[in-house]
Amino acid sequence: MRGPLPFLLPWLIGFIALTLIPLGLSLYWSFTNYDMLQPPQWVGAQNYVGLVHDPLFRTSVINTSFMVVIGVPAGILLGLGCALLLRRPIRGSALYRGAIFVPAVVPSVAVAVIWIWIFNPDYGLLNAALGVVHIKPQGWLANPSLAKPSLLMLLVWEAVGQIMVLMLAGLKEIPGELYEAASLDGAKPFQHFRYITFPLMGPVLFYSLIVWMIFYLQFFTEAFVATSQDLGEPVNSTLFYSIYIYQNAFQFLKMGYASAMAWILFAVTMVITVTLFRLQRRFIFYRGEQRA
Amino acid sequence: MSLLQTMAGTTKRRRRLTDGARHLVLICISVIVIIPLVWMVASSLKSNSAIFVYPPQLVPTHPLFDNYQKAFDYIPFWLYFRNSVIVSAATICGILFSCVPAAYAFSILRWRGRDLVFFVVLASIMLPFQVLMVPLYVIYRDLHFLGTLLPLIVPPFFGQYIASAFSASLAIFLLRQFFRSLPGELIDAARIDGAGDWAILFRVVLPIARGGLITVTLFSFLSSWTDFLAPLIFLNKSSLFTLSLGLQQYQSLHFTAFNYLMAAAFVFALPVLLAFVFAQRFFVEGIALTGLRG
Amino acid sequence: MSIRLVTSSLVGGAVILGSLTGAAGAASAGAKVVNLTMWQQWGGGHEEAALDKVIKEYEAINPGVRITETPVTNSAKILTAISGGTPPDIVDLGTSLEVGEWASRGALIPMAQYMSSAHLNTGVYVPAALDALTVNGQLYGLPFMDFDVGLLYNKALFKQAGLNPNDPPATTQELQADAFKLTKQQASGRITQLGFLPDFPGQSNGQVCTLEDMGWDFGGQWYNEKTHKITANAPQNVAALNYEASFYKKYGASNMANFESSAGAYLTANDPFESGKLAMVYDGPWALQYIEANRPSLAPEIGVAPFPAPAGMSSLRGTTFIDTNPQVIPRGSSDPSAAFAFIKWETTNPEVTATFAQLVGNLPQLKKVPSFPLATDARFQVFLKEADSANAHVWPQLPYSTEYGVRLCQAQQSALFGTTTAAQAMSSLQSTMESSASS
Repeated sequence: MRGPLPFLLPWLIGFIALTLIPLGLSLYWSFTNYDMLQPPQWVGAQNYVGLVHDPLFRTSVINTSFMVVIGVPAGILLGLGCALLLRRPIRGSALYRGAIFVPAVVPSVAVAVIWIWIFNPDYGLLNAALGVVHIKPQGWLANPSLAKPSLLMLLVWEAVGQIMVLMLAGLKEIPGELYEAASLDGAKPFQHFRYITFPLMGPVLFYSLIVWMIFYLQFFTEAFVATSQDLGEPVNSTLFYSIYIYQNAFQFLKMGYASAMAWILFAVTMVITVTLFRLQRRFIFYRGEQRA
Repeated sequence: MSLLQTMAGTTKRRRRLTDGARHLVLICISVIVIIPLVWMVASSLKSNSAIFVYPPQLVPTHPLFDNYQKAFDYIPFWLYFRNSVIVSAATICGILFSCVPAAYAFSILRWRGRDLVFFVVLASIMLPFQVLMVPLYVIYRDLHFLGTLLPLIVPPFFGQYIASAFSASLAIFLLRQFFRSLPGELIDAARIDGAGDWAILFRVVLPIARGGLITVTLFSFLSSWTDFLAPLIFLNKSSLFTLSLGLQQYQSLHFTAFNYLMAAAFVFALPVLLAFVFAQRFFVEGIALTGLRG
Repeated sequence: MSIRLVTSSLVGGAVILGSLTGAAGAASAGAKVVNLTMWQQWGGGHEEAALDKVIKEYEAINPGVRITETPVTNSAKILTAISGGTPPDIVDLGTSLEVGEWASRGALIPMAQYMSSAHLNTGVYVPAALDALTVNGQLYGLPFMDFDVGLLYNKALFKQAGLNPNDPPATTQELQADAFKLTKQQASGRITQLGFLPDFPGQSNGQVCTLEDMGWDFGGQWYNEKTHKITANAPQNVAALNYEASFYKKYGASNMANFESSAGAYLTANDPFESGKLAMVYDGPWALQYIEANRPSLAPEIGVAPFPAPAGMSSLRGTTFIDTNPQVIPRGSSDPSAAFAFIKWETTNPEVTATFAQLVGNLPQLKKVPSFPLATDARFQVFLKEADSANAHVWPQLPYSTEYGVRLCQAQQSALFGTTTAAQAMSSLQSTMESSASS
């Protein structure tokens, strides 16, 4: 038998040593109290029960869910929109593509600092721009009701370019003849989208959905940098799940508690992903493959 | 004029109008997206107090080009830059080293249990870094890796790398998709000629999978260059900090050197920016073949 | 082409690993000088410069010792390094807030074993500072540069509002009345001048948050030393939080938040107090030095008074937290006795203490120091007197002090913004901390 083993060996060693074993350890610690300085003490399901009663745990779940539910569709819609605009050849398309993509390569610390200035209630660009159309200056990151949407603006700004590029590649795969045939039949642009573009983009949209859902479930850097002096400010409105894990692990030294939180995140991610995969069979059309 | 000519003329006019509208919208979007970055570069050339004025001024009146040199002196900029280069180079090499053969094994080779093991790889794409970070920390501590760059350098060589929005498992997935889309006849022909698995990988598959390799290289570069959480947790010695982590040192408890931070951030972003500009073609082509097939 | 790619990446990886381990080996060979690393929380700026001078002085007297300091303001990073087995040799903390937690978990080396051989008599220190560093009866660090807070107020703004600049409020009710007179709010809600911002500067000046002091000021308590129980939901604490929330309610929480976030960072020329937009603040003596440096024209207009207490509780006037900059030795320090020698010298040298106190505007941790200019300033003396009084309290040193502190701030914020009532916030804090304490 031709062995796949030599090809898989580095990955296999790494998987066992750096993924399986840590997974097992974190599962074990989720049932203990562990502060990293002294040996873990078994406490059974106490951490999990404690999480259920912890109001901040609930807050972090709500905060993260908000980002997922709003951020994923927003990013995909905007990315798809930009891609649709750039689908047909147009002068300067490379320039537009580049401009929209650039935010993805700017380091997160800089992104956070730039946007903190943009959101500054007195000196910031956003309130200045809104002032031109006579909209009242807002608190943005300082306002508990606006802090999350503000962060979302920042994250979508970073994400749009990446999503757009993926959508463009997907659009390129759709044969132009389909559109021409539809036009000859008298189809309007919206019908082009609904009956050709959208169904044939199914796999790409689905892939983006999964990848970005996973991203928003665990994103950390931008929120941490924007609020590192006072994690979760204002009033815990930016206390996201990953931030609360970090806080419990490295500020409160409750490794067991943090491990329990991490495992719950893993379980939830798996459940959602598997559910989406099951749904995909019914809704997504894969070209060139027979699906019953 | 014939009917066809009239129709063609109307379509051309409609085209010009929609093209004009497209340009307008695209310009608006591009400007909105670019303005924060324009401000970043503009601020890098101002004095700190000139940044916080109202109304906001985009263009600096007297550009201070030596802000850049001062920014390089404010923190050990080039030391951190060097560390970032080491970590990114190692990540790219490591991912190519471990993930290319693995993806080959999951796509071209046929063996019992292949799809099951691949499902495990897929599942690990969903693994949040948070679940592993504390145990990995303790493991690295016991291996005495913590005072070095090893926690960031070693895992990619073993197919274990997780950063936000990209991971080694994702790399394996992408490469597998790529390999699967290659024409089977070439591989069959090579097998008939008696070529072994390694020979097929290096002489047949890799030469025509350039797009996929470049895509994975670019993604690995982007995520390792800008990675923040792993350096934050695993790097204890400040002399080993990567630039993404080191940029925080422009902020101290009572003061932020905004202008130097912006200058440093701009220089920090340049390598990745240039890489994507030059490799855009490969990148777009590469994505096309991976995101579509189920 | 591809074979070369693979082999070159292998070789590249090997070279990188090799050079790293090689470099590590070279560093440890041939070390006759004792090299100590120190992580400090002063940050950059003039405090770091002052510390560097002190270090140079020590190195001149002790040629066999070299100390390298690095600013590390993130305490979680320090703890991670200790638990990771790669700590610095000395840590110069900004507050004692973490000492209780770190010491109870074995992250810090107790001072006892070095004190007798180094002939250190702790009687030279101001007692309150030592309390902050004592956990379960053991001393875990040496105090340096003590600090407390009082009422700083802008006399020019007082005059403008028709208030007597030499008559600062004596009760919390008076303070509120004065604050309301000193506040200017536009029709849109935007605050252009604020009398008092109850949660400013909060954690930035080294305490948990202002609620810590306000609770004591109202006669409350955060921990009962005798019964070893957390007392977060004591009615006086709730009253204190209600007092703070009343300011937010009057002007609108979002307006207050906007006011604070549009101003510059704390202790810069654009911060709310230094820019002349905030009339009164619950802050410490170092602010005098910063204002002197950033806004010299404002400096003579600043008045200092003991923070007022509620009417009928005048004995509690001048309530403050008392803290120090702990000089601690983390577990895993490469040379604890050399580290101890430095911090003993640093903290018991009267000249160093006086010079540093003058430079950074903190209180001397020694009972006897040569006189320095700031000590003769009547305003500074307010802070000095407070430190010796019974109204100077230390935040409880417990295995979960950090968590208690962080959650107290969160509770304060949710009550100020009206997401919960003060009573709800404190009882929720009480139950959360009780379960943390019992686990």
